[in-house]
Amino acid sequence: MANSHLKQEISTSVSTYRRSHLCSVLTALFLAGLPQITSGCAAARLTQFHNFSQAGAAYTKATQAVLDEAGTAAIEADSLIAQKGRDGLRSADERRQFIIGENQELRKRLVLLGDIGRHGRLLQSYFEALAALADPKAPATLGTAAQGVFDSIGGLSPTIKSASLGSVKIGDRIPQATNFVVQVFKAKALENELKARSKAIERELALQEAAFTVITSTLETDLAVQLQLEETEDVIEPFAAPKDLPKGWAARREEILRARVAAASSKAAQEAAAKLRESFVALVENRLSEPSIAGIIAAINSMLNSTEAIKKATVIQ
Amino acid sequence: MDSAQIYSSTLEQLNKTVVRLTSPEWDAKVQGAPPEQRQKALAELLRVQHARLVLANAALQEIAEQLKANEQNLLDGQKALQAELDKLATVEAVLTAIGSLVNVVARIVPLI
Repeated sequence: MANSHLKQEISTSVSTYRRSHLCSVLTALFLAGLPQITSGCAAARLTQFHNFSQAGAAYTKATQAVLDEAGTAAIEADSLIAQKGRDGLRSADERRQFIIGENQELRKRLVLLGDIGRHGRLLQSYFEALAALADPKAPATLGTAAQGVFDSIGGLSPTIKSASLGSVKIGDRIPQATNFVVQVFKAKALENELKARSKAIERELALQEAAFTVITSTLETDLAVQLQLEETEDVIEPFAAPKDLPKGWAARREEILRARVAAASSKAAQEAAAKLRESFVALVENRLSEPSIAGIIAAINSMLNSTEAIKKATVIQ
Repeated sequence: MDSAQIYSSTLEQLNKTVVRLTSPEWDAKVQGAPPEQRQKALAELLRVQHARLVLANAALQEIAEQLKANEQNLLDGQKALQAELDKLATVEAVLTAIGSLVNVVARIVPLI
């Protein structure tokens, strides 16, 4: 029953997002994992870690699209404001100073978004190492590799924690730590790794959740700015002018109005991060279930859906 | 209020302001204003956008003291500005309220 539900969910995601390359990747990942979910309990541990690792990979790819969109929205909103307000600056020197200052600030924003993306990719590498450690035949060097990845993650997080976006410091949005106990695993290298670092990894996943909570808020502001300026330029002014309306005016109007709705509901990334963290705790406690994985898929699909709608509507005409 | 809260509320106000200043309603209002006010409205839009980017990128621990030192002016400025943005009565009143808040922000982070 649960399996058929999961298959149906994956099938829905296939039909809904056929056009998206990201979705193809996501779907392929989960279809590859599906037989393992449905197989008996012989390799249950391996299956759980494998599926979680696949979910982590899909999450990383989908959040990269959100990070790209956040960077694009920040730059486009700033460019539209600069174009709109340019006549407010009286001299060439004022205009030069303004745009140099804006470029400098936008570069800082892009560096931070890049750090958050790198942090996510390192977490993905860590989950891949865990999946490999779940195999009792895993070489001992894998534990060292996992530690190396963890050290790199730890090197990035202080910068992300202390950074701000929108109106809040990312560190202030980190959810409370979850209490959990590492289960006994037959693969001792895996158990040792989880005992050593799973609590810290749970905190790193909480940092991802906080980062996407904050990114969502700034993305909403930048998109609102962008779409409002486009609404004035592409919809209101042509309509007000005593001339024929441009071809495609009605379609453009619809796109902008629909994008405003999509922009206001772009919280899916933080939900996906929250579900990934919950699932990690369930994995460590050896109780990761199909509904947990299905929950991550649904959140990732929702994230892709929202990002695609925004991207479609905010393409500069 | 601690410096993190002052920081957040100021940035939040700047975000709300830039959204309002790019709205079709504000655009219509400005188009009906005299040329000098129109020019000033464009300049203030750029100042608000610049202030929100600079403040968002600033390290809180480096500006915590200045935030505390300017707490009352910031809070009064936010309140007055939000009231004007809600009313949207006259372009001049909104621009005056924006100027008051952004001038206080300029004491905390260097603005162009």
